[in-house]
Order: sequence, then C-alpha cells, then structure tokens
Amino acid sequence: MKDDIRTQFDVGDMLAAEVIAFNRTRDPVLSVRGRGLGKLREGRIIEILPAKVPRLIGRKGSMINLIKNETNTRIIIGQNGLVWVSGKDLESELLVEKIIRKIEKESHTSGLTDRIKELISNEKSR
Amino acid sequence: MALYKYSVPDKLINENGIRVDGRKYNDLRPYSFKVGVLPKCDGSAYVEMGGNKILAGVYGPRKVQPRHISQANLAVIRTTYRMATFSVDERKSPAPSRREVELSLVIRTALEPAIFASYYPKTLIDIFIQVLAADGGTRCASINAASLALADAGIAMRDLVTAVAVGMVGDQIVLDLCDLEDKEGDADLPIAMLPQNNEITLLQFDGQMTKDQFLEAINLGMFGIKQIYKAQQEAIRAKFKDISEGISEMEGEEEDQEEEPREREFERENEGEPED
Amino acid sequence: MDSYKLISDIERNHVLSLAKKGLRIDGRGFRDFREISIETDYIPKAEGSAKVYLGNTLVVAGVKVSIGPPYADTPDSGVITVNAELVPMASPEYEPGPPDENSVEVARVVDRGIRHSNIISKDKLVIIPGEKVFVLFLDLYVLSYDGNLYDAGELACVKALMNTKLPKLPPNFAETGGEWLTPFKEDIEWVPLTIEDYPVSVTIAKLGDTLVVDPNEHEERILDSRLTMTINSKNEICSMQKGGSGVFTFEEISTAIDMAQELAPKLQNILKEGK
Repeated sequence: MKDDIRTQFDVGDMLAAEVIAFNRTRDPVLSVRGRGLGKLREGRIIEILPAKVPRLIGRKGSMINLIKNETNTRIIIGQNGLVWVSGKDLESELLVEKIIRKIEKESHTSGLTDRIKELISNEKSR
Repeated sequence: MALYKYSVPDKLINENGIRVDGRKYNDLRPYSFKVGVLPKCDGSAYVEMGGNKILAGVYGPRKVQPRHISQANLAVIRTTYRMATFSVDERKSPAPSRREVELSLVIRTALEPAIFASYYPKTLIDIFIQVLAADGGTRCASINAASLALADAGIAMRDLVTAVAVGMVGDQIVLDLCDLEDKEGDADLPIAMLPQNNEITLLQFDGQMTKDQFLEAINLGMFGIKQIYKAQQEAIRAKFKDISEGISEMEGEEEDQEEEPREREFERENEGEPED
Repeated sequence: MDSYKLISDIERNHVLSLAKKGLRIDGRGFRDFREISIETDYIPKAEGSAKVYLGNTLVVAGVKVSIGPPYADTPDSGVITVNAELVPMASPEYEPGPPDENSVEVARVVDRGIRHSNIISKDKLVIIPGEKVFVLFLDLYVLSYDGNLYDAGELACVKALMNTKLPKLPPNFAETGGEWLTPFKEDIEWVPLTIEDYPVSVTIAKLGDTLVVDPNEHEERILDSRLTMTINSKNEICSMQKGGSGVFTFEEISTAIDMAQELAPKLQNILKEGK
C-alpha cells in the first residue's frame, strides 16, 4: 500500500518533525513518528534566528524549562528557528513571545537568566 | 540629458599638495558604518564614504534557487550590485547596465576568499548591494558594506574584506579617489584585502604607472585599508555594545568590560531535542 | 503582496482570532498607523528626495529633473513618470530580476494617487508648448518590506516632490529656441517646485471580518482583501485600488472610506512637518 502523505497532512499544516537521515548528496528525510511530533493544531509560531536556538534552550534545557514552568505553556523549539507556543490563554502566549524576543536580542550578554526571571515576575504581578 | 556639468580645475592637486576637496594625498574621506540596519535581512550594513551612500543586505545560507546552480560541497555566493536611478548626476536607467553586471562579479571576487563556503554546502548566500548615492569609489565602499553585512549575518569568514581606491593626479599618488579624481585623474586602482594578513583579494587598474609607482600605490592603499578596517570592527562591536549598555543603564551598574562579539563560527553547543 | 510565501494555518488562525478579540499581532489598534519617520533631501544628486520608515518598511524616493519633449498626446503638459523597484534585499521572498506585477502595481497606484490630486499643475512644467517641458523622473526604491508599500511609497513620493527644485531658466529661454546649454552646477539657480496639494494614501486590510489600517507584512500575507485609497487636502478621494483575492461588502467599503478620511489629516500633517 502506498503511503500518501496527503491523506494525513494538507498544504498549510504546521508540523513538528525530526530529521532522521541526512547526507551531503541527498535532501534530508523527516519523520513525524515520535513523542510530541506531528501536526500542530492550536497555538502560534514565533520565528527566531537559528543561531539563537541554543541560547533559548539553555544549558541542559535550563532556560526553556524555566519559561515553560513559569508561564504554564507548551513549547517546541525547532533547530530551524521556528518556535511553537501553546498556552491556556492569550496573555501567557504573548508573555512567552516577549521573553523570546528579549533572549534573541540579548543572547550575547551575561546575567540574562536573572533578567528573564525579573521580566516574568514583573509581568505576573500586573 | 544632463542638467548640469562640473567645472574641472586645471590642476587636481596644488603646489602645497592639497587636493580639490581639501585633502592631503594620504587622507581618507569622511566615513561612517552601521551594522544591522535592515530587520528582514540576515545581515545588513549601511556605509557612507565621501558622498557615497550604500546599503548592503545578505540572505544566507538559504535554499538555492534555481536548483541547478546548487553545489554539492560549497555554498553558492551570488552578488548583485545595483545603482539607484537618482544616485548619479544624470538619471540612470533602472535596467542593469553592463558596468553593474561587471561590478557584481568584481565585488564577489573580492569577498569570496574570505568566506568559508565549504561550511554551507548546497546553499546560497545572496549579497545585495544598493547604491543610493554615488561619489567615486562605489565598488570599494560596496565591498566594505558587504563584508560587514556578511559578518552581521553570522557567515563564517577568515577576516573582513576592506577596500579602497588609490589613484594618481599629476605625478602624485593619492588615497581614496573622490568623484572628480575618479573621472579626471590619471589612474584608478581599487584594492581589496583581508587586512589581518595583508592578503589581496581584488586588484584592478586603469592608467599609466611605472612599477615603482604601482607598488607605492598598493602600499598607500594598505595604509588606508588599515584605518577603514578598524572602523568596520568598531561598527560590529557597536551593535552589541548598544544592547549591553542599554541593559546596564536599566540596572544602574557600570559596564566593567567591553563585550567582545561572539566567535562567528558555526558551532552547536547546548544541542537540545525538540521538547514537549 | 500575493503569497510567494506559504503561511501556515496556525499563523493565519492566530492573526484572525486576535482580530476577533480586538487585537493585532503587534499590539496596535485597528486604526493605528505604525511609527512614521521621514527624512527629506536625503540624496545629494537628486533634485528632490525622501526616505520614509513606516514601521519596518523602508522606502526611498528620488526625483531627477530633465528637460525634454512632452508626450505627443499632451503637448501642453509636463511629464512626471513614476517607477518602483522592489529591491531583492527588501524581503527574503524577493528575487533579482525585472519588475514583476507587484512592483508595477505599487508604481502605478502611487502614480495615480499623485496624478489625480492637484499636487502639481503639469501645465506649470511647460517651457515651450509642444516642444520642451520639464520631465520629472520619480523613482521609488523599496529597501525593506514589512507590509503596506502603497502608503509608505506615497508618503515618500509626495515628500520628494515637496522638496524638488527646478533649474531657473535663463531669461528669454523660450524665445531663443530653448536650447539648454548645460551650465556648471554652481551657476544654476534653483526654484522650488510649486506644490498645491498633499495627497496621502491609506490602506485598509480585511482580516476575516475585521478592517484594519496599515497592514504589516504578516497581516498582508493573510488578508482576504485590501483597499488602498488616496485622499487629498480637501478630504476628497482621488484614487482607489482593491487588491487581494477576497471581497468587500458595500458597508465595508463605506467604513473603510470613513477610516481613511479620519486618518488622512494626520498623515498630511506629518508631510507638512519639517520642510
């Protein structure tokens, strides 16, 4: 039986996928099998420079876990710079966007984690 | 049809060694560089040198279009140099001229040796240069702008590329030709270099010089290039400094050290997996 | 801009659901223009010029003046020709090449906005009727695309015309055959071009059922349709262009006109500020 991807996905769908095969002579092969992968339904997309992705993740995920826990959101970071965010309400998603833009801008500076914590507590106390 | 013409003095340099715009033989024209000016581009820079106003924008590494120009082991580097219709005295047709096509190639030749193209196989690095105002030496100013834009885009490079045009008026070798010297002088020698190791990436020449004069001209070019190079580096630092200073002001502390721009290499620490 | 770039359903739905709640992705109100900054006399060798930022959209307009024959069908009228270039660095979606339908649309929409206002009396550009007129080349360069090239382009072009200068003609120029003897630049006396109106362009985008002014790039990519209109100093509509593959109802057009007429004076004041 031929697997027709069009039975599963349509033009305009946003997918979380993993690169499972790549070499210099062929285009990469993507897979959506796996936990947390597949079609993304609600939520929103924020685009950042791929070079900033490591800073957003943080050492052993420290930065991104901080953000997820404090804002109670689900976040998927693509190595290509596309970040998917889904929260219980609009405010938490907008806060996540604000945080991500700040990280993108100040990624080269020290003390960023503390400033992010400060930003979160300022926004929450509003 | 040209509305006006420029008067040309008898001598482009007087007995005291002063040129038509008041400079000495080894003075550069005033210049300014700013990095990161176009938010849509991966990297960008705006350069003013003399009356030149030039914007450079870089996209890349990006997908190769059309696919057939893709290279298996290297990035394809494409350079497009264009002048605005109003950048010159007599309105220029918007269609690309042969000169613009040649300069696109020449500028690419100057920049390619600096770029680690093998780091980005099967991709395209697009360098766009738009001259908004021209005042002699646009190709050199464009090279200066383009290398800043490449650095701003985080493209791995051996060094910045820095360029200047040297010429001759009367028998005097002069640095950084202005428009009049470019048009009426006796020689035009654009040079581009990787300044750290004095490696020349571009050399063009029109005129008549002895070998000694030629080598002297190259030396004078190197002298100018070292100064411009410092300014380019300063422009890159400034981009990060602005942000750092903004933060310190907010926190009321003092900046105890200058932030060095990060190593512009393709590195992947802190590799994380896509998470839930 | 017709979609070169595919927008995902998530991104589209996000903008539309924000709109239903009275919000836009950049936090603006439905009737808010983005920040506008204008620099005049920006290009040394142009006879008139302006650089305009509308949010992150950046355009530069320049005027080059020439003397030449009029168009055959309008012998008693000077010539203004408007051209637009969407420079490849302006957007990751643009490719190098000759002007495509989008840049031609921008040029022609801006041109009509200027043409049908009373900004310049083209008969005042005539030197010798039927033979010699002032020819104004108005060229617009889009250097950064973040939506709404029409309004930004119109601002830049009008501002460039506002600081355009014409060379003063030698006495008895027409009588002595009208031969322009290409004087030295320092010998020319310049006379400002007479400006009699301040047309501004206001673009309204339809996002789902909501009308918003000055769409940014994101909004422009997902809009159903847009309406660009030029309004002159007397608050009259001088030109209109509908774009996009969706529709407008009669009520929506009426509302859009109200929005444009409400906002036009603000833009006109910005134009008149400075020089």
